[in-house]
Amino acid sequence: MHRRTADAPVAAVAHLGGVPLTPGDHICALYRGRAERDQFMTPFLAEGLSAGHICLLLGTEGDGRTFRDVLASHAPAVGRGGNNLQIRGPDEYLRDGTFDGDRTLARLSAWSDEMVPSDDDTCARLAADMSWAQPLVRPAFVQDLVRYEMRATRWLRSYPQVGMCMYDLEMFHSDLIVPLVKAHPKVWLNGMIMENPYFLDPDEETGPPASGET
Amino acid sequence: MATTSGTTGRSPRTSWGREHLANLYSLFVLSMIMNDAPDESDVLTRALTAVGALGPCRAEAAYLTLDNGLTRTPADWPDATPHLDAQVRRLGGQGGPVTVPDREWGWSLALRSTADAIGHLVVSAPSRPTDDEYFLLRVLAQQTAAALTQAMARRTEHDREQQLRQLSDDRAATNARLTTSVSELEHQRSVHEMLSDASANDDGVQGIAEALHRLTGYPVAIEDRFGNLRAWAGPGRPDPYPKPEATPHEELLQDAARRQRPVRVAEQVIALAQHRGEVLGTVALIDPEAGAGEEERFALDYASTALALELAHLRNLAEVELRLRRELVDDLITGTDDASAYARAAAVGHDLHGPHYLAVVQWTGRPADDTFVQAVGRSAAGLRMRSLLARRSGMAVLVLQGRPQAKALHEAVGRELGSPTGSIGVGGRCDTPSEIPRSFQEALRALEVRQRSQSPHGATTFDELGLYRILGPGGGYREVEQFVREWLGPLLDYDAAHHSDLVQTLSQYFECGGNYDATAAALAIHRSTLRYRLQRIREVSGSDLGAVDSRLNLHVATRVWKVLGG
Repeated sequence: MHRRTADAPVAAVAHLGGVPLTPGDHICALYRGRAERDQFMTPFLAEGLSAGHICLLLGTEGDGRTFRDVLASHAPAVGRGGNNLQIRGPDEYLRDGTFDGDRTLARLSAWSDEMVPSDDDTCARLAADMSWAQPLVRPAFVQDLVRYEMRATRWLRSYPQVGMCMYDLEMFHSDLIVPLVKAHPKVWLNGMIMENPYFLDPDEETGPPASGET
Repeated sequence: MATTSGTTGRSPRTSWGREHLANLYSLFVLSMIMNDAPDESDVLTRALTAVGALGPCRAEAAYLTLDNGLTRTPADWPDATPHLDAQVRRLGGQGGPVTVPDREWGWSLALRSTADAIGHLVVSAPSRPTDDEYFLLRVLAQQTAAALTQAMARRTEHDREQQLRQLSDDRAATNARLTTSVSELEHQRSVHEMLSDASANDDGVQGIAEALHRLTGYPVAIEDRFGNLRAWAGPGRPDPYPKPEATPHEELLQDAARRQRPVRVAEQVIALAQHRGEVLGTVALIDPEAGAGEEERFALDYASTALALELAHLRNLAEVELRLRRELVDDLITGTDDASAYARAAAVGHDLHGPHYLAVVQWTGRPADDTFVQAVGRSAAGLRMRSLLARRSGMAVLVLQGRPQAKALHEAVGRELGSPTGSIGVGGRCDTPSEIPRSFQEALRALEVRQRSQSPHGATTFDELGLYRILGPGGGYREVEQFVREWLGPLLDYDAAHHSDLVQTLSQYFECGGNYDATAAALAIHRSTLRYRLQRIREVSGSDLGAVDSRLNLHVATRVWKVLGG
């Protein structure tokens, strides 16, 4: 277990846009359009594959058919990713069209247990495209999604892995973005990573409910 | 710091503080997002959607100040109403309270850029928000105003860039058009220069054809009004050049005249050379592959204009020269001073010095019109006779340099007119212009003698009239005939009855001066035959050939007989 402690810095295991990332980091990546997404996501995953990391892409419907080609074009050295690159679709989040955060986290934990055993020195990387959520945005869903993201932070901290949740600003507005920013310790925007020491800590989840009209 | 077991959660103050800082942090991130928004509408939409995420308030509407006043932006925000629009307008750019149905508290936050009001953000709440909550709204409004200013600046810059790009595109298009125009003008100038040079250098019709060939690269054919080839430039000249049928050719000319542009006919592109509505000729590009473009057609069109001017000029020159020649001949015939005559003749290209002869021509069934006179002129030219030509009193008159070949001229005119039934009279020699009137009269006399003879179609020179020249002018024709009958009548009757040549024998006898041997040789007969014929002459005529008076009268009679067609 690579838990973070206050008195000892942890070595970087990944980079996003040149910025070092440490195990357990949970980044909220805000981008505009598919091209920008690929522009930062592809190097992120390619770097991991080159380092022998296990990479999981929770992509859109078409990523399973196209992303390996994009990867090969961007990083010929890693080719189409091989077995270390796993690509799954929006079904990881939705069941019968309904978002079930607990179910998703359970499946993700099981994946980590399998792919990143505690006795192995392997690191894992997760890139999750959240475009599937756009049609569902409304106050109740926002609360559920924010709660899920807070719990995802806890999950990421439990294993030697780095996670990146990607939201397209062309699809999502402030009613979702503002709560997401509050729930993430790190935000990637315009090629920069901004750290938020005042993010809503998942360990305080049982505290007062998130802001917003109920 | 680790939490010990059994200890309650953080103090409410600590939790509140973290929440507040998290909100501020999210506003910071939101500001960055809005500053990168594509337009003002996106900025305001993000501000509106952030209100509910920052506290208990609800976004009602947002407005943008444009040139035409306050405009709801985005226009389709679901909670906005016209009543709310009116309230915000009454605030006059300042922030202040607004009334929202079923909401205890409503407020319009002014969006300001330095001193200017650029918009409004209207929010409401079920109850008055706390100071901290209101603070967050004010920060949101400030960040929104800053982002709007950025968006407006970007839009202004974008519009300016677009205008510059449009100006640049317009300039490029203008330059392209100018380049095209300059190219066209250069080509037209080249066409103008080459064809003008051809005209200025007196290259004539052939020069125009050659210039057009150089300009277009195509072979060029120039025809007269009737389809006869006048000039060809370039390869592939047909030999012989085909003569078009009159009717189809005329139809082609009429069809081409109805169009204002060169027309394609079979393998040619043809332009008409017209002057004052009259077709003087045609100029054509030989283009079997139909490759001629606009530039070639322009050159062809311009060439047709140059050709029209050239042909009109040539025709005018011909008409003037013809008139000058006619006037000169008229004056020469009626008498003029030598110096003036020499000068005027030289002006029309004729050297009047040296011996000249006058010839008059009449042809049976042909009026002495311009066509006839020109045919006579062509015939003379064909025999290399340099002449001045005119029409006078129903006949063609030529002032010929050097002794003419009268018989050859008659044959040439006959070929030209397609008929041998004509008469030509040639006057005596003139060494000065002042002698021309006399020669003209002599030519008329010779013509008259020829036309009254038994062989009226042919040529007669005044010199051939012999003794008749003395008698002719002063006496009547009837008296001359009576004289001949008086002295040669019996012999003429005898020759007619017996198909003999007694009169011819007598004439030759006198021409040989009575020499038996010379006469026999001239007639190609034996001396004994001659002696026999002379004896028969004495018997039939009853005249004594030895008597001086009889001998003189008989000789004159044979001369006259010979002139009259013997």
